[in-house]
Order: sequence, then structure tokens, then C-alpha cells
Amino acid sequence: MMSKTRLDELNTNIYDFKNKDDYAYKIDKGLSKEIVEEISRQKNEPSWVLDIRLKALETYNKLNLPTWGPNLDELKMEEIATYVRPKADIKDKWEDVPTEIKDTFEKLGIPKAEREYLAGVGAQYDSEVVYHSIKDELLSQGVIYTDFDSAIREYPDLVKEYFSKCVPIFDHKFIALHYAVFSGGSFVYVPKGVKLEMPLQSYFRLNSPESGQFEHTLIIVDEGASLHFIEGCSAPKYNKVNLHAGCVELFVKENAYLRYSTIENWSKNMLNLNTKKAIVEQNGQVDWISGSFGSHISMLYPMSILKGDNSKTEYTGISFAGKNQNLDTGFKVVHVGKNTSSVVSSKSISKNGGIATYRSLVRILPNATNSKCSVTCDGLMLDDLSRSDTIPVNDVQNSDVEFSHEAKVGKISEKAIFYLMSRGLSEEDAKAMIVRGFANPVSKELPMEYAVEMNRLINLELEGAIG
Amino acid sequence: MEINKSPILTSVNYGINNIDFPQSEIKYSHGKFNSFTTCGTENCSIKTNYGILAPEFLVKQNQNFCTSIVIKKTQDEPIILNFDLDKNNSVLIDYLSIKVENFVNAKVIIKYKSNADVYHNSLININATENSNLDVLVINDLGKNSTNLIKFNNLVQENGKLYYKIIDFCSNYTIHNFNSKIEENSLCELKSIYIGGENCLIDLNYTQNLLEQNSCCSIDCVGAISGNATKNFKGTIDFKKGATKSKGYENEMCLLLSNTAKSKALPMLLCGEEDVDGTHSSSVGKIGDKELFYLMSRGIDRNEAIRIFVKAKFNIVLKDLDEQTMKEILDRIDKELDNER
Repeated sequence: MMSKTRLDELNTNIYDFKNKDDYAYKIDKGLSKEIVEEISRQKNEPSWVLDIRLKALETYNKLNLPTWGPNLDELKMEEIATYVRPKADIKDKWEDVPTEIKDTFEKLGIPKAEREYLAGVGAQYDSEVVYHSIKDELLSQGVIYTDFDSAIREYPDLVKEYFSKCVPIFDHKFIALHYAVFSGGSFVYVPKGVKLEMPLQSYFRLNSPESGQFEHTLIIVDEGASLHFIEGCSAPKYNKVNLHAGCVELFVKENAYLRYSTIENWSKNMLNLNTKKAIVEQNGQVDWISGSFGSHISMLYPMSILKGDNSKTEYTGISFAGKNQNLDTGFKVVHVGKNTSSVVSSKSISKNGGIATYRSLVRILPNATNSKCSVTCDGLMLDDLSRSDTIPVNDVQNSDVEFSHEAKVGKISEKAIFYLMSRGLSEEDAKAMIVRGFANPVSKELPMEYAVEMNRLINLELEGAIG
Repeated sequence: MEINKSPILTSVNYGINNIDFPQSEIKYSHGKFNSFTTCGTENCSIKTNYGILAPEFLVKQNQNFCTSIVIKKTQDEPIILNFDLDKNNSVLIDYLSIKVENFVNAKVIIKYKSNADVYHNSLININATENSNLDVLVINDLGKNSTNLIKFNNLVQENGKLYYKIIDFCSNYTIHNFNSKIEENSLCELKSIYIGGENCLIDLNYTQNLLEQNSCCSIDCVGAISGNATKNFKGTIDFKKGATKSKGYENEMCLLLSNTAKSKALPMLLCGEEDVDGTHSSSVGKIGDKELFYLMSRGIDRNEAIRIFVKAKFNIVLKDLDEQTMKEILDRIDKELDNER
């Protein structure tokens, strides 16, 4: 009997190193009005932010947990510290960042990436941003890229105008939680007509055990501008649950373009309940590239609202669910304007008891005439312990549309292996090629260095046959 | 709503050897009916949007027609159950149980027909036992303002084959809940076509559970809706653990014939087994201008072109009908499409 091909668990060793849980301030565990007020006091915020926090807390207490999706019983807010300030203030030179924290980001390759191909970098450690920088020529063009706390202080009108307007606080329970205790994150404003050639990257590292990260990312790409933003996340593994409930709000104005790439590699004790949403104006386009590799439980459904006529969105995502992982991911799109179009391509690989679920919504409203939407999702199962489910909701409310959805689930085709072997490839090479080819639609959308990292994450170890 | 005063079943063509039939019970549901409709339509079915019907025990408690058919020998002629409802027979709550025994082939046609507005709630249990082969055709053609609720329960046992076809001329509330359990080497194929208009709420919930190895299933659902009709479709193919080498195929297609018709679809694929082959596809749209142009350039007027196009899409079911039934159905489709314009 042939042994089965083994696709290794994701090699997270490079991310799984712990620093001492050494912080300047860690708030008491749990969630209460006093804790929320204390976070606000610690951050020395204006009163309008505290008002939003308190309103969000009230909303959080009123809303129920979702009745669908993965079981969230493990989440006990009374065991989570929602704010941990590291022993470092925000710096704009890596040399000024404390050695231990700097070493962390060195190991993750952030400063190297900045030197080679990024236009700006933000690095968050636990609840606060410790490093933020942007190339001078972008500053002179009026590009704002800063941490969220600085943005509240320095650009209050701009922040007030957009903050919580894309993702409202009552959207769901965990976004209400986010607004109650949010800390850190990035703020980006790209002025009219400015096209960034190189990407900006924010990296979020959660080091403290039994804590949560609630960063808020707000990006405004003004008319005719373009931006590629990369988000990376990781954490070392602890025995207790960590929580990530971030929020991403994207505003893509007329004729603007935004590409938002995420390589998420949280540790396997993380509950990743993140919310991402974009509002796209006339002729604008937002593209999402999403790689979900880590976390114990993920509930992540980026959303595009195609508000303006002729606006577009594309979503390319891959998720890899290994042992003890339940990744419930997908995409939501609402077509509001005329002639809008969306293309969704989702891939999932599940093995060793992992559960990969694709859950999506496509809603085409009555006025969104001449809209087009195409959805494809493929699930690859590598053993019989795993699960792969596809749950798409398609809601079409006018007749002048072209909508199609396709999905496929199964194992690696023996025919494909046979074909490649008949062309001279060894069995192992054939299988490796098929699995990497399966992930290719995502990796080809990433900058080269990230694609290499993603391929490294999916480390094939082949023994005998797949299937 | 008036309760039935006479049996509704107008014709039963089962005069063939080796069929156990039936301990037909005619029960009248005075006194219980109101509570039943409340539960069936308001609390359970319509609010959920996904075709969850009244609990089965309520159908059994309130039924006014019940039959159990056991087919023991291969039948050359179809077994036909015709239910003609009218103003005086406006409530039908029927419980049908059909079993084909081992190595038996048979065909069953069930027709629900009425020009008047009626209330209909069915529970149809099918058991295709080992190595049997059963064709079932259900035709629903009830008055425009009728309520039509049907629960289909199927069990297909080892090496059995069940071919289900459903034709629906949708009434105000058309709610189907179809559930199959498919065992080793067996097959359950569902083909469903529907046409609805005005303010129809069409709510279709089709679930195929593949329980054991080498089992196969398909859901092929094609419809055309117009007016302010709303269609909710939920199709589920569930590969249970142990269903190795099983195959499942699901296709849903909805033609929107008006700008105000709405289509909601949830084609689910649940997979708890590795060595399976599952696909689904779903599409929504109007009839393409190119297709209409092509037909019209051949001298066919627009309305006729639409009729041709819709009927072509419905061919998945129509092609397997006998000549007379096909003619009747085609005439009804034409009439339905004409009414909607």
C-alpha cells in the first residue's frame, strides 16, 4: 500500500519565537466601562474617541454571538487583556527601537524589506506602534502614512470624517468590541492623482500572552490615486487563547486604485475575528489578496461595497487549515452602482483535521444594472480527517446582470499526476507542482518576496502518493 | 378556508399486480386546521425563507389523505396519482409513502392540479430499496394564490436508483423541502424546473446526503421568474464521512424575466471526506440579447423567442416526459409566459 503524500504543517518556526512578556503597561483582564476609560486615559485621547468607545461597549453588551460559523466558546473576555503597551515609544529609525523588539522585526525580515522594496513601514508590537517611517519623496507629495494615534492627534478632521463610517460600530459583536478597545493601526491618505510605485506595509506582532490586538487601519485613496498596501501579522504560540479583532476601513475614491494584500500567519492559539471593508466610488477599484495560514479559529470575510458606477473589485484568497484549525473565510460584495464588476477566486487546502470553510455573499441591488460577477472557489482535501465546506449566498435583485458561481472540492487528480509523470516528472515533483499550482493564483498576485515567503510557508514533504 | 367535503384524489392508476395499496384514510381536519396553518405558514415555513415546512408530525396529525404504496414487481406502466382540487376541495394535507422493493423498477407520477386557490401541504416519503430503480415525477399546478408546501423524504438503499423530477407552476407560496439519504453505490438524481410570476415566493431547499461510498447525487434546478417574484434556493450536497469515491453535482440556474424579480441562491457543498468529487455552479441573468437577436433574425417574434429559450432551458426535465405530458407542460409554460407579459 502506498503511503500518503504528506503536506507539512505550515512551518511557523520562523514566527514562533517568544520575547519575555515585558511591557510598560498591561491593563487588567476583562472588559468593562472602567477598562475602556482607562485605555482612553492611557492613550490621552480626545473625548470624541472615548464617546465612540463607550457607545461601542454598550453595543457589544447588547449584541449576541453569531449563531453560525465556528464555535467561539473558547473566547473568554475575562481572560483577555485588551491593552498592552510595550516598553517603547514610536520611532522613525530602527536603531532607536529597543533591541529586543527590533530583533523581533529583524527576524521577520521587516527592515530588510523596507530597504529593498517598500515605500513605508509601520510596525506594531502588542497594542502600540513602535516604528513608523515613510520615504521623504512621498511626504513631499502629501502622502500621509502614520500610526492611528498620531493621526487622531494630527489630522483630527480627516479622521473624524472617515472613522467608523465604512464599518459602523453596530456591524457585529466583535466590531463593537474592536471600537471599544481599539489601539494602534495605521492611517494612510494618498492625495488626488498620486500613484505610489512601491507598496506600504504594516506589520502586526502580538507577543504578550492572553492578550488581544485591536488595531484600526484606515486608508483613503483619493481621486485618481493608487496604492498597494501590505499587511502582515504573526504571533508566538501560547497555551492560552489570544484574540485579534482588528478593523480595516478602506475608502477608494473616483478613478482610484487600491490593492490590499494580507499574509496572515497568526499562531495556532489565536482567535482571528477581523473585519475589513472597502467603499469604492465611481471608476474605482479595490483588489484584495488574502493568505490565511495561521490562527486557531478565523472568521474573516473582507467586503467590497461597489458604490460608484463602473467600480470594480477582485478578491483572490487562499487558506490553509491544518491540525486544530478552523478557518472560516470568504468574501462579501455588494453591487450598488451601475456597470460594476467583481471577480472572486478562492482556494482552500485542508489537512490533518483542519476545517476550511468558504462563506461568501454576493448581493446585486436593483439599481446595479449591467453588473457582472464571477465567483470560483476550489477546495483541496489532503486527508479524510479534514473538512472543506463551501457556503455561498448569492442574492441577485435585478435581471440585467451576469452572475456565475462555480465551486469544486476534492483531492488531487490522479489523472493530472499521471499526465505530468508521462512528461518525465517524478511522482513527487508532479504532486508538488500541482499543490503549488493550486496556490499560484494567490502567490502570483503578491510581490516576489512575499510569494517566495508564501511558498516557503507551504512546505511540501512528499512521500508516496497523494490520495 | 373551507375544509374538504369529499376525497380529493380523482384518479389513481395503480391497478397493476403486486402493488400493496392502500389503506387510504380520509380524515377531516375540522378544528385542527387553523392551528396547523398558523404553524405551517407563519411560524415555520415562510419566515425562515428556506423552506422549512411544518413539522412532519403535524402533517400526519392533520392529513386528510394518506396512502402507502408498496411496489413489489417491476411496472411497465407508470403509477399515477392525480389530485384535482377545486373551490369545494380546497384543502389537501396528504401523506404519501412509496416503497419499491428489491430489484423492482417503477415510475410514479404525482399531479396536484387546481384552478382555484387552495392550501396544499404534502409529506412524500420514498424508499428505494436495494437494487431498485424508481422514477418519480411531481407536477404542481395550483391556483395563483394557493399555498403549496411539500416535504420530500427519500431513502435510497444500496445499489438503488432514484430519479426525481419536479415541475412547478408556482403559486403564491411555493415551498419545497427535499431531503435524501443515499447509501452505498446508490444514486439520487433531482431535476427541478419552476416558473413563477406576480408576487410568488418560491422557496426551495434541496439536500442530498451522501452517506456511504460510491454514492452519487445531483441537483439540477432551473427556473424562470418574472413580475415581483422572489426565489430562494438552498441546495446542499453533503459528503458525510465514509462517502469515499462519491460524486455530487449541483447546478442552479435562474432566468430573470423582469427587472423586479429577485433571486437568492445558496448552493452549499459540505465535504467531510477526502476522496470525493463535488462541484456546484450557480448562475443568474436575463435572456441574452445575442440569443434573442439570433432567434429574431430567423423571423421569430420576441415573445416566441423568449418562450423557445425558456423551454430550451427546461429541457433537462422535459426531454424525459412522455409525449402527452410533455405537450401539456409545454402548453402550460406558454400560457404562463403569456400571462406574465
